[in-house]
Amino acid sequence: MLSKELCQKVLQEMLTTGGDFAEIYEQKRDVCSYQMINGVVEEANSGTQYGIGLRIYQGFSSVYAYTNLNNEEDLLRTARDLAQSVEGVSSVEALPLEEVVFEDIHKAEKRPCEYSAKYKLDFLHQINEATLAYDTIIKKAITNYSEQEEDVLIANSTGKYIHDNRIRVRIGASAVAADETRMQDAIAGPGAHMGLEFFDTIDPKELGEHVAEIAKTMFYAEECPSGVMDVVIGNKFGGVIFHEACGHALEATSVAKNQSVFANKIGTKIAADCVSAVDDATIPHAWGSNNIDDEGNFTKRNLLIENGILKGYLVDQLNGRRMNCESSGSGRRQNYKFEPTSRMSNTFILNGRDTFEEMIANTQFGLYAKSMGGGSVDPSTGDFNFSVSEGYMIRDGKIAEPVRGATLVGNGAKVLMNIDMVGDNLARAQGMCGSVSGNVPTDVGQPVIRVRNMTVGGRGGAL
Amino acid sequence: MKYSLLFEMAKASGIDALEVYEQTNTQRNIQIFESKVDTYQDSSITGINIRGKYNGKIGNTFVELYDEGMNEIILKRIIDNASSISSTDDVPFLSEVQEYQEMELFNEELANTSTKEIIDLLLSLENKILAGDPRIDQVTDCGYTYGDSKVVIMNSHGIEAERHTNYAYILVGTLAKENEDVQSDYQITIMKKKEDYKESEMVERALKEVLSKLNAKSMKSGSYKTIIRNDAMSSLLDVLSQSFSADSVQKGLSVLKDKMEQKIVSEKITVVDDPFRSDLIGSSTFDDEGTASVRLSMIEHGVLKNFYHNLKTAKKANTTSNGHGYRSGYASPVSISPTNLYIQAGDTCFNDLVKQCENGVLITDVSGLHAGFNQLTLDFSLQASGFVIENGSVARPVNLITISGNLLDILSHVEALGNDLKFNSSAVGSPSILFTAINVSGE
Repeated sequence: MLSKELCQKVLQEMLTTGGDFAEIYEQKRDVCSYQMINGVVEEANSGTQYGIGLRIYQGFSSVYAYTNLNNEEDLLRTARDLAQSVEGVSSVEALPLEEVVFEDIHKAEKRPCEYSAKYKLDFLHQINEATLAYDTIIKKAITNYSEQEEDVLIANSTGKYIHDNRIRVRIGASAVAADETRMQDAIAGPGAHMGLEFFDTIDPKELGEHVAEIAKTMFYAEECPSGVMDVVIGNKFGGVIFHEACGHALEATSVAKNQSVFANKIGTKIAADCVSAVDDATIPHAWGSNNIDDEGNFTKRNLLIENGILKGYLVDQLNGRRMNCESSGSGRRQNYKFEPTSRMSNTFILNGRDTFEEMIANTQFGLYAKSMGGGSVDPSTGDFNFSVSEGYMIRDGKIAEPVRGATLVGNGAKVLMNIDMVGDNLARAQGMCGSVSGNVPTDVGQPVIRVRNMTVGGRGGAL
Repeated sequence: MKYSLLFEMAKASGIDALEVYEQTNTQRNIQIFESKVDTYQDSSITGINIRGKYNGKIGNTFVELYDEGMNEIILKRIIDNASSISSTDDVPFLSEVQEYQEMELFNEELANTSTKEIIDLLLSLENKILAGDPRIDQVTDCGYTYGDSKVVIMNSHGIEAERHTNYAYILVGTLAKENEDVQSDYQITIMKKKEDYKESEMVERALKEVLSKLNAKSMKSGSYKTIIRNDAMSSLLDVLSQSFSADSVQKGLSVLKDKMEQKIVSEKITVVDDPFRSDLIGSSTFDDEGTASVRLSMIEHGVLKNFYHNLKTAKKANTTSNGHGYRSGYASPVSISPTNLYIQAGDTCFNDLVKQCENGVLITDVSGLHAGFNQLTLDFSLQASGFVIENGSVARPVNLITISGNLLDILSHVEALGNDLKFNSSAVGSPSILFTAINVSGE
């Protein structure tokens, strides 16, 4: 990785014009992935990403450049050209760099690059076989493996010089149920910020059967009806509702420029009293966790909502200037080609006092959305959507027939007020979140919750 | 030659055939906010993807900072990856020299646009939008992006091909407020040449689109005669492109699997993939394996006529590649992508479509496609917004509704096609289409 001496020179070069802060982000990432379909390895890929991102702030604005070239001459030239795009004269010096060391709470026990392809493929085989063996209606089992190991170095003009190593592993399991006339699929994607000891946390047979079971149930399910109804949203990936309805609108990315429905709302009630939520990037080995964010700041557990009251935002350094507040350790980027901005990490609603049984018994008619696909949101209006991948009607306080193919839409500000029951079985699930600084790994989560009066869009016709 | 040593060492390691794909991407991006430059970026990266044949199997790898010192690790990865593959598919590399169509895909003027010119353009654009109506609260995004891609492909069969393309786009986001209601909208202008951007046109479009959304409400759930406007329809067609992939078909993961030469949608529908439109950003004269591009009819008057092939799928199907072996960047292996894919326009003007609909709904925006549109089954259930159509005219705006159905099913129930073909930023295009019935969920 780049030496302190070289970083010092580059930072100094970046501040030769009117910039008031300079940052170097060096990243090397090795990736490897496999895809297996019905026992056959169809794809095997590996590669190395390497690059350096240079950033200069001036007041509320920034300029950015990235390059693969890490020798002194080319790097200084890139820094010089970037500084030329900033007006003004030098007024700030780069402080002497001091290395910050810390304990890695997400350290991997089994480094993936030290294990053979066979070791990884054997694990995939177990999932894949279990999927296919579940039922004759299952025609395809698609199982994916991906690993990445990255080293990042952040150096900036406040004298920070800090390095982190991050290893992530993820499995994608999918089943396709089919006959001559139609198909239905189901997927699951567990992952973690750890090494191959991740395999010990999963029962491959159970995972394989799980996706097959959902594919089969949904294959024989009715189309979900359309209309406004009460929805009980399951835990784990059900947390995508909070991620879309609220999470993005609490990022400084939109709050700082008054482009969020929740801008200027600290201390006000934005959700029902039973709702409390956090973003916590410190959970050991969680998929969205990191020791430090991509600006070199230590991550935190950030309390977002407490008993319905908005307590905090997710803030990165530059947007923090507009908001006159410190970074919350939430500055993230997909890779060195992106400028960082505030992003979620592991975001979830906290446990409440209701139980799942109570919720169902208490619902005359509605939808039990047991598992979700993804969703999206416009933080400036709060309008959001997310899809249901496994659903059941609720009739007369009991879980009834399975239904498929529903998308729920709503407005974040209104929906948060319509949560009236919060369960006690908090659990998280993994996903990839996309925004202006690219795709980053995040966990979503919640206990099971009930939301009144949501618009459900199914293909089964109006209620 | 830069990679001569790599090719030599490959041969010596038992790698029978080698192919290098080198891509240099330059990106410039300038955003302004409240009359000031907010972000500025100008960078260039070169990445290479190398694939080799070892014991009859293909191994792929990629690097971003290449020097000859990496040859050993590159070749080791190719051998390791090839050895993990258990698929028996043969992947030939191109060996016959091809003739490529002549087409200018690189515009010098666009490449030489100065930073000052771009900033002035953006400042003027932001200003005119803000001044356009008192209900405009903010121009949330105002940015210019320039992209430039140079690709060189070379393999051990002596094939060498090079292409250089560029484009730019301008993106504005606006926020409008009236009383308690807030609405937002994004508009994009894609440029293959400078003249593709006209300030007055973009200002008018940005204002009209966001202001017309103000005070949108929901609507009653039901089945309605529906016009899906050209821009929203392009997003739906985009998803269909993967069903045309011979790779999906051969893996049993496409609904079009056994439907070649069968009528799959209304005879009013003809879908074309045309790589030779120099005004569009999906254009190309050869794919990422070096195979010459050809214009294809995917669907002709409702009948399925072609799948997209690359060298692997063509060999498997005992046919020739039709030039759709593309990578989504140097870090990805060769798969399948469209070039410029579109539904051919009909002859009904937009206002006549609305008259013909008489009572129903006009959909102008869809979102949540990555989650609400099943790539496998083509079932969809999507967040949507638009307008109610009453007595043959566009009436009040609606939002936070969903539309749901199956793409092939709705394309089999087409009443009329508009004459307003328009392309989106993924080089997918469609006219506005009047459908017999689509499920809407609202109140």
